Order: sequence, then structure tokens, then C-alpha cells
Amino acid sequence: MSLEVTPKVLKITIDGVENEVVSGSMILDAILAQEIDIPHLCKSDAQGPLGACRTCLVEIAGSSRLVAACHTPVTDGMEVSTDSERTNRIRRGVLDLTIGMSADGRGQGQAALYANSHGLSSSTYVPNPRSSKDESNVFFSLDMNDCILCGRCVDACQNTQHIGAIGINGLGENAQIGSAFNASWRDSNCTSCGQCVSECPTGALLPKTLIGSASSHRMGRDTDIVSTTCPYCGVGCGLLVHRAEERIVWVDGEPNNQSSLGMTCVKGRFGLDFVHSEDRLTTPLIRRNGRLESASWDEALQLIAEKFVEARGSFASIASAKATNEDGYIQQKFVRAVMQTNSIDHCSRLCHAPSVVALMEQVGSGATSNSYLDYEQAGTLLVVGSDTSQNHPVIASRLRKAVQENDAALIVINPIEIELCEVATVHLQPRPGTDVALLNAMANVILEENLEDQIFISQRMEGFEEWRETVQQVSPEDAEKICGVSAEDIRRAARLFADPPLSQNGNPRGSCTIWGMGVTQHTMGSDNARALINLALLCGQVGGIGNGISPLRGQNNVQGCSDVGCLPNVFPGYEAVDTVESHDRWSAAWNTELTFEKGLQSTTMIESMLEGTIDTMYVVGENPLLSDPFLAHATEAFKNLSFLVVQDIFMHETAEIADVVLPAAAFAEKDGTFTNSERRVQLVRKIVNPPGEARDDWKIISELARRVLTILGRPDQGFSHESASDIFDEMSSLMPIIGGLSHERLDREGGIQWPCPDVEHPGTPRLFTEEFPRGRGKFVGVQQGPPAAELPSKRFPFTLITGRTLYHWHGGVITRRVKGLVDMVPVVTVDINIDDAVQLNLHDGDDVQLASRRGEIIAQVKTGKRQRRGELFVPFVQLEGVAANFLTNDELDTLAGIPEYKACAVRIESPGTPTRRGKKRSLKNHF
Amino acid sequence: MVKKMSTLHPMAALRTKYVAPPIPRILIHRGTAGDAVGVSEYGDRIRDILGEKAHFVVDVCSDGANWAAPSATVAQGTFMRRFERLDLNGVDEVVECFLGDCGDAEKYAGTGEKGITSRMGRNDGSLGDVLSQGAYIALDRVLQFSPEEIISRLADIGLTGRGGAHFPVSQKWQFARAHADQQKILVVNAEEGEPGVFKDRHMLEGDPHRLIEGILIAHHSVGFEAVYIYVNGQAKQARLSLEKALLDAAQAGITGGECWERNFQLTINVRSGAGGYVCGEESVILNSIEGKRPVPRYKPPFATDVGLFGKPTVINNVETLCAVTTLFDNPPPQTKLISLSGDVPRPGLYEVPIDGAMTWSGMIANAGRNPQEIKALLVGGPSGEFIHFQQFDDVLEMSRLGAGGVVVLNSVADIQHITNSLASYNKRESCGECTPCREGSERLVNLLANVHENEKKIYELVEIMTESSLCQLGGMAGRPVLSALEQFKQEFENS
Repeated sequence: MSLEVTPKVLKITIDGVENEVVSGSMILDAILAQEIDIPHLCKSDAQGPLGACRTCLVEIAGSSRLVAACHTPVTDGMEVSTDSERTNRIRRGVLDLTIGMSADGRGQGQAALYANSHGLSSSTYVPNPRSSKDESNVFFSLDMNDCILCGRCVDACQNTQHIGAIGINGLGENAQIGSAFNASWRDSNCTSCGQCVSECPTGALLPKTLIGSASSHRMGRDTDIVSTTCPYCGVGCGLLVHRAEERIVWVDGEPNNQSSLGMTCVKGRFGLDFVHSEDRLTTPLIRRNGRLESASWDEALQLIAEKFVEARGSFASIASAKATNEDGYIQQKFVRAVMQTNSIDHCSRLCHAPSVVALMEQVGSGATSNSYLDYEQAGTLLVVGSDTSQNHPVIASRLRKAVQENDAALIVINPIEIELCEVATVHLQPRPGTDVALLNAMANVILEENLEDQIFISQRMEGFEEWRETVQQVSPEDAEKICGVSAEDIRRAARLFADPPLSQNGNPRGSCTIWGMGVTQHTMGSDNARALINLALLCGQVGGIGNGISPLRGQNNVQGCSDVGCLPNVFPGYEAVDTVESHDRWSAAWNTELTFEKGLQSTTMIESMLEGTIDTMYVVGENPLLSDPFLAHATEAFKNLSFLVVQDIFMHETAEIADVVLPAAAFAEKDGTFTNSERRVQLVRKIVNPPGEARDDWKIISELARRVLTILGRPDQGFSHESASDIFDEMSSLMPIIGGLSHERLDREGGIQWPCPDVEHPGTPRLFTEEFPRGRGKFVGVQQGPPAAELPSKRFPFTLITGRTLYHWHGGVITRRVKGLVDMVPVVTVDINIDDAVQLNLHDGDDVQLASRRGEIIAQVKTGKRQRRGELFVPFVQLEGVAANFLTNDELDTLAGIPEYKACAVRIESPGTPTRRGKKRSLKNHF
Repeated sequence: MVKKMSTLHPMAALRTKYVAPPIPRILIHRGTAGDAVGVSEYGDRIRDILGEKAHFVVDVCSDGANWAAPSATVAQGTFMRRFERLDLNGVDEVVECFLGDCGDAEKYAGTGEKGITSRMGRNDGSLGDVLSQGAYIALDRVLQFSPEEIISRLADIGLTGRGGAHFPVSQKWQFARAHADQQKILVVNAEEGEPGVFKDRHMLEGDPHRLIEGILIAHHSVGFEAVYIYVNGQAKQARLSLEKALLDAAQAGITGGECWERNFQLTINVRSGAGGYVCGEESVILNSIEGKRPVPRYKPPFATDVGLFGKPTVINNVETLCAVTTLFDNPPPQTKLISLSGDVPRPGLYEVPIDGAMTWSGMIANAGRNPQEIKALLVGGPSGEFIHFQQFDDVLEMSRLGAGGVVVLNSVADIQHITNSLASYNKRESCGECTPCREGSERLVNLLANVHENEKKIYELVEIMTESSLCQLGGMAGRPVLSALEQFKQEFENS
């Protein structure tokens, strides 16, 4: 392990002014730090030097040659002149050549600005542009007339995002920016992340969306820049949002954000204009005579308060993992302290509940143990059931970086040949639902070959002997029969995981275990997670640099929503509702008597609605009638409610059947915090005002709480916060894991990873370094059961797997409002193996009807070899009224209550085939 | 305990195993130059005539005298006679000479017995043949010294790089050696993409063992993990000869160190370049070997700190490493390989002294031309300069020779046309990575179309390209232009 080396301080004199910089700084860093602006067209803040534009020339005393400041390191005592006659003359000459590349000879963007500052309004040469254009990308265009071939876009694509969609094609005078074989960008492997556009200093790459016009985003136009956190997935990318005239006009990645390192994906960059969508909810709506009609806040809130008072005892609430920590905290406080029930839950039930069950049982904490940085320091990356490129694109970039730059081995376990397989060392492609056998066989190999970490096991683990017996029953050859993965591949993967490749300098490295919904969304999701965690613990791959266990969080604030207690069994900070100590502590904190009884999980709420034991629901920022499995069934349950309140930013399936709909502010319209997948608490800042009368969620809930309390004749029990920052202060005073955090500190220092118990504490990049919250870690033996609750049959011969697509978010409520994203993926598609397609005479673009025992949808055929024969993939986004969850099975994992989204039996039929599901099952019989 | 003792000195053991007793031979000068004019036909003819004595005829590489091709040399002990520009009658002459009726011994016109070309065109490519002519003796001696002593010896004799930049070899090796805790790499630059330069491919075709010996001396001095020899993609014969020599040397326990009861722990890889002038730039080679776009890297960091695959890397030219094998010669031969072409009767490869003994005039005369008939020399190719006839009495200096390409221009040569061709070449070969070279080289071509009007602008542009370009291709692209304008201004004015 390397020791922290204190950076050496070097002295440098720039234009006569002496300064100090740390060793390793480039001259340009020192110049810019001294707020001297010299041209630097190919050097971005976010990327390393390229040395291509040759405009940052400076003179060093004692050196005969001019040097490029961007890539010349400072040496101690160096004297630099940025403004000598010679440097200005040569720089001017280079700028002259540079702007001579533009069609008007005047240059664009920063090239023009720097040329102007060197006394050149236009080139002394006849304009000599490369004139090709590529308009094929939905989100941006390339116009070589404005390109100066600085290479920043290529560097961004290849070395920042590690996509490699574009390069400089051709040499010398023929050099052009383009994709491989000069295919159009739309037809390349470009993911439209827009990193290239963000880097372009001239506007040769210009966004088509967001600003809605070709006027350049950074040039000429006055924009304020607000630093905030992305509202899409759980990666938690830092965004620098450009605002002009109360609108979001452009997004750059925040280079100082340690989670995203200046990156965003297509949704973070081009997907924020949903905020300005015309169909935002702007006033409260009350159902009158069967129709939702506009109403005043007073009317709506009073109605709800009165209904809620009556509904105590039959009330449940769903919180939003898209809202802020502050919103979530206030909501669960309202539910617990005012409505006196623990029946609050959120979407983590539908994603990582099994991971949390297994992690709590085995180590005593449900969070990701490591930082993203560990992926880049690891020797082996084990990615299970996660199509990271689609779901967590920026983490996928960091994984590719680990493989391509740091020679990490990548093991992908996925029934689908996902994009990451392109860089994977081993791809294990098990049949759906056979993960336990596969993972147990890997453990078996590790034990067989004595690759386990015996010291870790003896010092930090328990239950080893009992567990060992369960895995010794599963040889790789056994697993081969069950999973359809060759025994040799299983052995190879096991060895790579237990004995990761050394670093380029020959140092030992760790293994990271990364997983997604492919592990959890099964009826044996908890067992899958246990088998995976067993494997990591067996090899001691947790708690150190370059290792760790990471359930990748799906939504922007799913970690935070759990942290602040939007769960039916725990208070904020994961304190159990049914222990005397925490019950008393929280009752005292909120000055009321709380209930000991655990609340309902979101999936069991459905059952209670049908039974009538729950008759009033308060749904905030969620659309269960799209995201729940077996949608027809869920719809029936919600329709059975006597009073339904939905609070959201858009009208959606659930809101449409609500009694009252409340308009909420979107992420860009409020302050607060999100906590990402690596436990980093990050600020969300208000960028624009909410539309119409829309309000912050916490403000709506607080007002509601006050009204309910007034009717009940109880005093206000802490619902009169002035700001989100006030709420956070209350949270940090009560939650030791964020005890040292405040909005003010996060503003000053950037995101900090919990636990952070006091203001001196720097935050915690890695959990479990010394011990586990439960003391010793625990091996839990699990055995392979039936692969799924519903297996393919003669009538339903295909296994359907659902998941996400890069260009849509979750059920699509938000992304359907972003034109570019819809253009990329306008309809629901079904991926089918080419051999199956040939047999069924299906072609790309054909519409087919997919039918399960629960419903049917129309989807567009996409043939390929991503999945095995007999398996289909449909993203669960709802597009044009079609959603995969009409097909999926609502069978649950008994421990975690998660439905089996990842496997159900379907058949393919011609569109319009009448339903042949047989007699509709009575819902009563269903339970 | 019985310690294994080697009964013979390693070199003696090698010779015993591989060297055949000397016999008189007829050397047929194959190689790229000879094959291009069908020399093997003459070889076959000679073999036919000699009948059962045909085994005395052996194929060797060019001896550098490309002008003489097709040629053959009769070699009997120290007696050497080369038969030049053979025809069928000439063949009979060769045979007669071999069978005993020969005139006076005639020395080679080009290469000498000392220096790095001493074995070129005299060996049949077998390990035994080069061992008999002194190969690996220097290495054997080097192994008796410490790395510090070798580097210090190279500093003492002042050996500098032969690729054109003449950087001191000892310093470069020392820079890499300083990274004691890191794996280091040696890259051998055998790209030689410059028009009119053909020395490295001659070395590889004619005496690849000399390069291997140089590599192993470098390895002893610096300590490498791996060697990459980057050979011009068109130099197919050179690559074949090199690969055969590497195989022979490995089998004989030379590259592995077994001969000396050591383990050199070195892997030697051969890579072919995909072409382009810029591929000879040392950092472009690194990118090319790594499978990246062939563009230069910015410096610093220098390759000796961060080179191939991020490891400290020494990049040496073939000729440089060959010259390293002369480090114990007394006095060390101060020579440079010159690839001579243009208007001379005897173009080809010459190893010339650069210790003050040779003038430009002398070099021209050696090649069979009266210097007074010559207007200028173009030295250093597209990055080089014109030497005006008034300077012909200057002695050859390393700093003016570049990679050693010399084109002899007679009195009717059109300097303006040549200058424009060089500028166009630089434009065509610019990799496009940096603005000054990519844009500037194109602008320079355009400006040269009207020198009268653009003279000031040309000087300005060349200064900008020189001062600001990323690598020396852009940095030197204006050099021949200014050299032409300064010395042959009237040729531009007359146009």
C-alpha cells in the first residue's frame, strides 16, 4: 500500500509575479491560477493536455525554444513570460492559421475570441475550411466549417467517456472528425452523451436540443451556471447547468464532482428540458363529477387534510426516490408522527430490497461499501445482472476506463450479451434465474483451489463451515448443466475474481462486486444477493482499496430516500421501528408517541387495498400504475381506494385515477440534497422557478401536516421549517450517519460520503474497513431453486426479461417529454435472437404481439445475438401506451417483497390476435 | 559440490560450434538493390559454370555499392575483387578470376574494413559467417564491465544518435536507467521513411547481427524488459533478414544470455510500420506500436521517463545501436552512413569519416563526379538544407548530416522545383495533429507559388512553424525552403 505523499511545492514566477504550485502542475495551470488568460484551445478544464493547438506558447527564461504551457511541467524557480513580443507574435501566427480554417476566416467561439485578443479580426490567409457536415445525431450536429481539429471531442469520447465512437479520420490536410469508416454518427456506437459537444471550443459541435437554436451555448450568450446534481440514475453526476432567461439552455459535467469526474450521459446532458415541458402540472386538481378540475391550494389541502384525518389506520404512503432527502424526511415524518403509521415505502422495494435484506443479514448495512474510485483501482470487476451502459452510463465509463487504462479484468454475468461484453475478459451467460448455482460453483472452485482469503474468514467471518457444505455440493460441471455456462469459464471467472491481476507496477489489487436488478428482481432475489455477497466475503474482497460490494442504485436518490426513513421498518438512519430504544428516541425527537408496528411494503399495500384495509393512499413522485408488475391487477387495487392523492410534476397513469392531484416542483426548481449510489450526499440547487403554482414537495407535505394537526387539535410538531437547509439541520442532528453534514458544508466542500458523524470528519469512502456493523460477517448458505415462478411452457414458450434502455428513464414519464430521447427510441422494442426470428419469419421493424398469462403488448422486433434463443428482452419504459409490465409476473420474493420482473413466460403472436389467456382469474383467487 | 565450469571461453565455444573453415568464395550481391536488377540470374549462371564447385558461390547482401549492381565479389582471404555491372561476359570474368586468373586486388569503393559496414556484403547471413568476421566480440567484452562503465565509455567516445538529432547515447541511456524500480523498454527505430535514405535497411539486410549485438549492449547497460524493433513496412527483405538473425541468435544462446551462463530476460519483438514519413518520429513509433493513431506525443514527458505503454523507453536508431558495437575500437571509428543519390556515377551507401578527414568535395569525388560540375547538395531530405557549392570544402559534421541522406544536384537542377517538391512532400506527410504543421505546411506550398510577392510572409510562417510545431517534422519543414531562398534566391527571382 502506498503512503500518501505530501505534494512538493514549487516556486514559479509568471510575468514577474512569484507564485507557488504543487509539483506536477503544468505551466498553464499556474498561469490560469494567476488569472492570466492566454489562449488554450485544445486544453479543457476536464481533460489532460493534448498539445495540438499550439496556442498556449510561453517563453521560459534560459530556454531558447518557446514551449506549450499546457503540457510543460513547472520546475522549481522557473521564470515564465506570457506576454513577450516574441510569444505574442508566434501565438498570433498560430491563431492566424487556426481561424484560417473557418469558412468565414474569422474563426468561431474561443478561437475567434483569442484571435481578437491578439489583434486579428480575420485570418491573413484565404479561408480553407473542411466543409463536411454530419447532422445525423438527434442531439447535436457537426459542422467541419467551424472545426479547428483541436481533438478535444475525440479525447472526450475516447479517454474521458471511453466510448470511442469518434476519432480523427485521415492524416494532414485530409484530417476530419468522424466515426469509424466515416459512418454517420447516428449509425456509430455513439451514445449521444454530448461530452464532445461540451468540449468543443468553437461550436463546430452544436447542440440541436435544449437551446432550440443554433446559437452557441458558451459563446456570446449570457448564461448563469448553477452547479447541481443529476435527477436521473443513482450515479449522481455533478451538472453545471447553464441558465438563460429562466430556462435551462445547456449542461456541462462538473469536473470537480468526484462521482462523475466531469461526465454525464445523454439524459443528464440533453434530458433536462422536461422541466420546461408544456404539460407540467401547475395547479392542484380535485376530482369533481368524475373529472379532475383545477382548484386552489387551500381547497385541495383542506380537503386532503380532512380525508386524511378520517383515514388514520387505513392510510399508506409511497415516497419518491426522485425527490430530495429533505422531501423524503418530511414525508416519513408526516406519515409516522402525524398519521401514526409506518406504512411508507418507496421504489427500492422494486429494485434493491433483496440486496438490502441480504446485506443487513450478512454484514449489517445495506449500502454500497466502496467508492466508484475503487472500480478504477481494482484488478477484477465482477458485474452481475447489470447492463451498466444502459442504466448507469457514467459508471460504465469508469468500468471501461478500468479495463482499458488500468488493465483490470472484467467478468460479466448476464443472460444478455450487454455492451460491456465488448471489453469483458469473461462473459458468463447463464439461463435466467440460475445465478445461485453459478455463484455457488464459483465459490466451489475458489475453495477447491484454495484461493479463499483464510485470514479474512478466520478473523472477520462466521458460519463458514456450514456454508462451505452447501457450495461443495455444486461443482462447475453441475452448474454447467443448470446454467448453460461452460465449467471452464466458471473456473476462469472464479480464479480471476479470487486472484485479481496485478497492477501495471506489479502491485496486488482487489476485486469489486457490482450488481443490478438482474440479481434482485427474481422470486429468489434475496438468495441471489446472498450467493453473490458470500463470494465477495469468501475472498475478503470488501473494505479495502479497489474492492467492495456495490448494489448499483437505480434512481437518483434511492439511497437517500432509504437513509431518511422512507421504509416501513426503519426510522431515519436505519433504526428499527420496533426496538424500544429507537422508538423512544424518535418519539422524543418528534414529540409524539410513535407506533411499534412495522408498516406495509409497497407491494403488500396492493393486497391491502384490494382487501380494503388500506383505503387512502398518498403517492408522492411515483407512478405505481406503470412501474408495478401485472399492471391490470395493480390498477384494480388502486381503483378500489376510497381516496387517492397523487403529488407529482406530470399527469400520469396513477394521477389520472386520483381524487386530488398536487403539482410539485421539479429537481431544478428547489434546493435540497440527493445521496448517490456511493453514499455521497450532494447538493441540489434551484435553477429556475416552478411553473404556475407548483411547490416543493416538502412545503406541500408540511402544510398538509399542519392542517391535519390543527384538525386533530395537536400542536405543530415540527413542520415549520424555513428552508430545505433547515430540514437538513434537523436530520443531521438526529441521524449520526450525516451528523457532520450541512448544506453550508456541502456547498463549500462538494459532496461528502456518509457516514460523516461530525464536522471534522472527512466522510467515508469505504465501509467495513475494520469490522462489520453486525460484528462478524456471515456466510449464508443458499441453494438453487426453480429458475423462476413462471417457466416457459408449450403455450408460452419464451422467457421475457425486462430492463432499461439508455434513452429512457424508468417508466418514461419524464423522458417521454424529451423530444430527442423519444426520437432515439420512439416505440417499445423486443430483442429476439436472430435464429428464433428466422424460424418465426420475423424481421427488424416488424410489429409483434407479446402475450403472457396477464396481458399483451405490441412491440417492434429487433433481431440480434444479444440474447440466447428462447429469451426476449423488452425495456419497461411505457411508449405510446405500451408497457412491458402488462406482461410481467407479480410473484414476490418472500423476504424482500420484490416482484419477478426479470422472468416471465410469454409467446409471440401477430398483432391483433385476440386474447387467449383463458378465463380471467378472479382477483380474490389470486391471493 | 561440483561447479559447472565452461571449458572454453564463450566466444571460442560459439566459434567452435558455428564457424566453418575459411574457403575462397564468390559473393553474389543480392539484397534489394541486386535483386531489383536480377543479380540472381548471374549467380545461377556462375554456379552452372562452376558445376561441382558451385558451393563456393554464396549469396550475400549488397555491400553498399548499389550503383554496381548487378555485382559479384571474388573473396579469397584478404583478396577482394568486385565485378561491377555484370553482364554475361562479365560472368566469365568472375569465374576466371575465381579459378586463379585475376588481376590486381581492388578494394571496395564504398564501405571500409573498419566501422559498422565492415561485414556488409561479405557475409552470407549465417551466424558462423558473422562470427568469423568479429560479431559479438564487443558484447562479450561489454559483459565484463558494469553498466556504469559502459555508459561512461560511450560518453567518453562521444557517441551520438545517428537518426538525425545526434543526442548523446550515454545520456539517453542514463535517463532511462535512472528509473531503477520500473520496467524499461528499448525501441529500435528502423522506420527510415525519409526519401533517399536507405542505410538502416542495408544494415538490417546486410548485418542484422550487428544490431542485435548493439541491442544486447544497451540491455546490459540499461536493463530492459522488452525490445521492439519497428521496421519500415516496405523493408520486407530487411525484416526477413532480421528475423532470421534473431532466430539464429536465440538458438545459439546469444539473445537469451545462455552463452555467458546468464539469463538476459529480454523479449525481442519485431513490428512493421504502416508507412508515412511521420512514423519515423520517435513518439509516433510509440503510438504506432501501441495501436494508436500515428501522431506524435507532446514532450515533455520524454520517452525515457514515460514511453511505450507508459514505461521508461530508450528509442535508438538502427545505425546508432550498430555504432555502439564499435565502442572498444581504438580509435573509435568516427563515421556516419551516407545514403548518396542524385547526379553521381556511383550512388549508394557510404560510411564516411566525420572526424574532419572528409569534405563535401571529397565525398562527391568518391562517388565519381567532379565537384565542380555540381551546384548543390540536398542534405537531410525534406527536413534538411541545401549545401551551396561554395561550401564544398567544408568538412562533414554530424550536426549537418541529419539522417545522412544526400542528394547531389548538378548545374541544371531546378532548385525552385525541388524546394516546391519538398514543401509539398511535407504538406502531404503532415500527420495533421498540430495546427502549425497541418495548416502551415499547406499555406507554405501556396505561398511558394509566388515567392516574389510572399517572401516576407514565407519567412514569418517558417518562424511560426519552427517555434510552435508539436514535433520536428513541422519544426523543420521550413528549413529547406529558407536554405534555398538564402542561397539560391536568384533561381526564384528568375522564374
